[in-house]
Amino acid sequence: MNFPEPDKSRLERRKDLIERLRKDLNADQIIDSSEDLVAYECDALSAYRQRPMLVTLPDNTAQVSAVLKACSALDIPIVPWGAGTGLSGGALPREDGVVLSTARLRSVLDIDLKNRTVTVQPGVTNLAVTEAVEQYGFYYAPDPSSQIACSIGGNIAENSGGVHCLKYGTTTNNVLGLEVVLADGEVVRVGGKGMDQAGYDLLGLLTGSEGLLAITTEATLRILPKPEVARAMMAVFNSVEGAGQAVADIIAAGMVPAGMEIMDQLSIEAVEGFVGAGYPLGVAALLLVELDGPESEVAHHIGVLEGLLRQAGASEIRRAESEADRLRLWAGRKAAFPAMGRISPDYYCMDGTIPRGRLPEVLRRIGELSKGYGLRVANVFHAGDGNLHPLILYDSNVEGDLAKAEGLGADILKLCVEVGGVLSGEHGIGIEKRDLMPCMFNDADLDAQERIKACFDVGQILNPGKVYPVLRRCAEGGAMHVHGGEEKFPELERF
Amino acid sequence: MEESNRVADSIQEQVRQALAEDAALEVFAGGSKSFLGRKQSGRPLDVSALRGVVSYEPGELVLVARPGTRLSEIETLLDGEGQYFAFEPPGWGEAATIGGTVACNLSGPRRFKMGALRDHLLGIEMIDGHGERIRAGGKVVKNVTGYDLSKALAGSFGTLGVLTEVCLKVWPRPETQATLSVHGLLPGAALQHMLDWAARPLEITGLAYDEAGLVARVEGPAQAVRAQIETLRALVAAESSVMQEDESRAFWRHWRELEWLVPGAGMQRWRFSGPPTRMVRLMEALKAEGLQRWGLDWAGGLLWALLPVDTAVGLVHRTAARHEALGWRFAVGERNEEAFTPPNGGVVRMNQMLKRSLDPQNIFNPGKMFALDEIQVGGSGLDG
Ligand SMILES: Cc1cc2nc3c(=O)[nH]c(=O)nc-3n(C[C@H](O)[C@H](O)[C@H](O)COP(=O)(O)OP(=O)(O)OC[C@H]3O[C@@H](n4cnc5c(N)ncnc54)[C@H](O)[C@@H]3O)c2cc1C
Ligand SMILES: Cc1cc2nc3c(=O)[nH]c(=O)nc-3n(C[C@H](O)[C@H](O)[C@H](O)COP(=O)(O)OP(=O)(O)OC[C@H]3O[C@@H](n4cnc5c(N)ncnc54)[C@H](O)[C@@H]3O)c2cc1C
Repeated sequence: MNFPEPDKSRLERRKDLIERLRKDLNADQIIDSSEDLVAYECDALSAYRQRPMLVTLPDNTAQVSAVLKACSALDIPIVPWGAGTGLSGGALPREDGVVLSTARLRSVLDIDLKNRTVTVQPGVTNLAVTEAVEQYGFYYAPDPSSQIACSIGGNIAENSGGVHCLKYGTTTNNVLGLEVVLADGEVVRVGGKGMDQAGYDLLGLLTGSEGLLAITTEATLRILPKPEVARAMMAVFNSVEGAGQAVADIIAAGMVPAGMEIMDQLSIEAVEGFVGAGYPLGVAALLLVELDGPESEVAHHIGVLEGLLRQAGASEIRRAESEADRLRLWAGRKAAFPAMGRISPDYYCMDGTIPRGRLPEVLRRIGELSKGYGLRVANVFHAGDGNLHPLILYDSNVEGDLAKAEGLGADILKLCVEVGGVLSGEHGIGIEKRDLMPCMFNDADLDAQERIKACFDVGQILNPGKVYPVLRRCAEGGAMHVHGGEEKFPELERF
Repeated sequence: MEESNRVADSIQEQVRQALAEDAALEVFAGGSKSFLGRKQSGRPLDVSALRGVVSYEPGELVLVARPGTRLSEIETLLDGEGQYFAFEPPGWGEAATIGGTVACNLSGPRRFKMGALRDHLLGIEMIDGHGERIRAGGKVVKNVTGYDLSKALAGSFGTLGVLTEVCLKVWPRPETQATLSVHGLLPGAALQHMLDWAARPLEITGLAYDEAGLVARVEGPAQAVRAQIETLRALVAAESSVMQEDESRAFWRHWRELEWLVPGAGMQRWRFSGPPTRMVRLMEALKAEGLQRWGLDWAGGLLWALLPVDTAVGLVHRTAARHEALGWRFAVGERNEEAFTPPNGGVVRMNQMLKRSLDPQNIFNPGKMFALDEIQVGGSGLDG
């Protein structure tokens, strides 16, 4: 990936910008020394690095608005930054841009148990939402593996999921209201505590928009009663395809488990060495299934499930007998990414979704691609919803290995699209998959998306250069029309 | 396939023609929901010929259909595979199409538990206001690939473009269901039960109340349904009875289709959605506007009501807004007042940004959702 040359004139405006920001922010809310800026060089896609010209740490919505106004006025790009755990380079800074970090926006603002909502600032971690309400018997359903660190603002920008999202949905299905700041600094409240929004579904449009349309400063989230029981089961298969077939059988039987995860041999071995989850070694595939709900329902389904797994050819089935057992089974799966560090100097995590029925074919072809490129690939999947996470193992110290890993990754994602899937299930497009977008969308599709960006962010200052390969402005995309001498939206500014 | 492409081409042609002539279009399918939204005067654009299920793979939990397909036809198809739409859309007439259902984001009693239609919409194909046929979203259940335009189209009432294909998530239908009805509760007490029960880890997929009493539907395997109904029954002192499978299904169908809320002469239906804790107080406040029959749905988050046709519409919207609720009026009035409670000024502005990007000439159902031109940026008709 090559980065564009920084805009020199913007670099020259750095001093003006600091001066302007100092009107609204304290000195300790502006990071400008190069040794402190290193911490913001990259998100979790660490192969790509760039140092921002400045980092701002606003304390409240008014300050977020002030930063946006200052940057708008001086034409300086802004990259929103949550916890920097993103895996697609969405928060990758620009040398000629400012990072707006939500690190100081970490308050839980409102817990409304009757309406079953929690309102938080964007820097609150995903897990902290559950922690705020678990004493009352509630939890927040989306549970990305990074949940101890990742922020709600980042989750909303990436529409993050987790191992439970087949049954409970991803972030977009769990957000009821937002306060956002638009590129020009206007603060807008969208939605609320009810189940409908007035006007268009802006919550749906903003969630998953990767920081390109607005900056989230507050979120009202739906919380759920904690299931009465959760039971997990692990089944061993002598092929990944066999495990995939078992998943299909479970769904065909009318069950929607809370989670279904498959790991292949390489992943199992890496994880077992890393956390000691008690997984058997030397087996081709593991399927973890979790059922949750009322005791009476789970008791029924768990028997059915065991029968289905046997029929599907599981060579070993293990029920988690205690809560500690259950958590240990999941600890392995949730540590799958970091565990790769044990078996390879570097790994590159992919994130495509495919129609589940195409799993055997896709796996076979990933195997062929892996051989062709000479790089190992470990596979973990959110099997219930067809979301694959092939982990490409490489060594950045070996000349050319990174480029090979990128090539292999791109080929895997193209394969996902070819079989009817998508480029990203939950990690977003960011900078990483930006140039693959035309593989999935044609010009007209991308034009429509970029026009939305251009209408929301006239000056193109919000996270520009991410997600879309080419940037255009609304005025170029579609000329304004005058209707019988009248303008259609007289109150909108012209550009 | 070829036939449907021909129909889509012809619709695209009509859109391009309208763009060239700068003429407005009124998008309709079965016309079953033409009572929603504001009056239209555009050139009719009938999309009902764009019909048929494109693909349905039960194992993938995904269905793709053209928008003119009858909702009833799709539901029969799903039923044959032991599946259903978890968002339980009302049809409000045999003519209901899947496109109209998506365009109105219609979701039934299961909404508070299973999500709205928008939560189950995976992808769309549409003709936008530039005359282009575009795609957004995908055909798999998990996806973050560009803006989720599908959601924006759900509930857009045909004002952002013409849908030519929709892809929806379908769900396994639970083995059975039963409904507990509790008789003789006052509204306040009923709401307390709703709030309490919705906060319990039970598979309650319907929680509604009207003058006949409080009803709670449980779905799942037979033994689990039985056990949960007993759990609920033990929580109420009032007299109660249980509707088993067929009776329960028939009841919720009747409820969802609003057969219990029939407007008599001079009355019309309204729908209010908001925070569950506010809805009984909203109902009390609407008595001043001549509230007649009413009922609560969505575990308290939705209020159905009959109000006089000659109610001061603006006042009703303001009352709704005071309770953080949104009103929908189920009739196009003589004076063509606001059909939906208008959003705040910032949201209006964002709505206009979206509208302008997809339909800059404002040809699709202009003014159907809001009297846009009458709302000033920076403050809606309601603020202040
Ligand atoms: C070990 C590991 C495991 C992971 N597991 C999962 C998983 O299971 N599921 C999953 O979905 N993801 C997973 N991720 C990816 C990542 O954690 C998520 O994408 C997460 O939502 C990013 O949150 P963040 O706060 O770190 O955001 P960042 O990385 O800081 O930012 C992500 C994007 O959001 C934007 N952004 C951040 N805050 C805001 C805001 N307030 N307003 C507007 N835009 C904003 C940024 O500009 C950027 O585009 C994993 C990552 C790691 C490292
Ligand atoms: C005044 C009136 C009152 C009625 N009241 C009731 C009642 O109270 N209860 C009841 O049960 N029935 C009622 N009906 C009957 C009911 O309207 C119809 O039987 C049926 O449900 C048609 O729905 P549809 O799918 O055809 O959508 P339509 O009604 O044709 O359209 C609904 C909305 O979706 C949009 N739309 C449709 N297709 C597309 C597409 N492909 N792309 C983009 N947008 C699209 C339209 O523009 C419109 O905004 C009423 C009918 C009328 C005319």
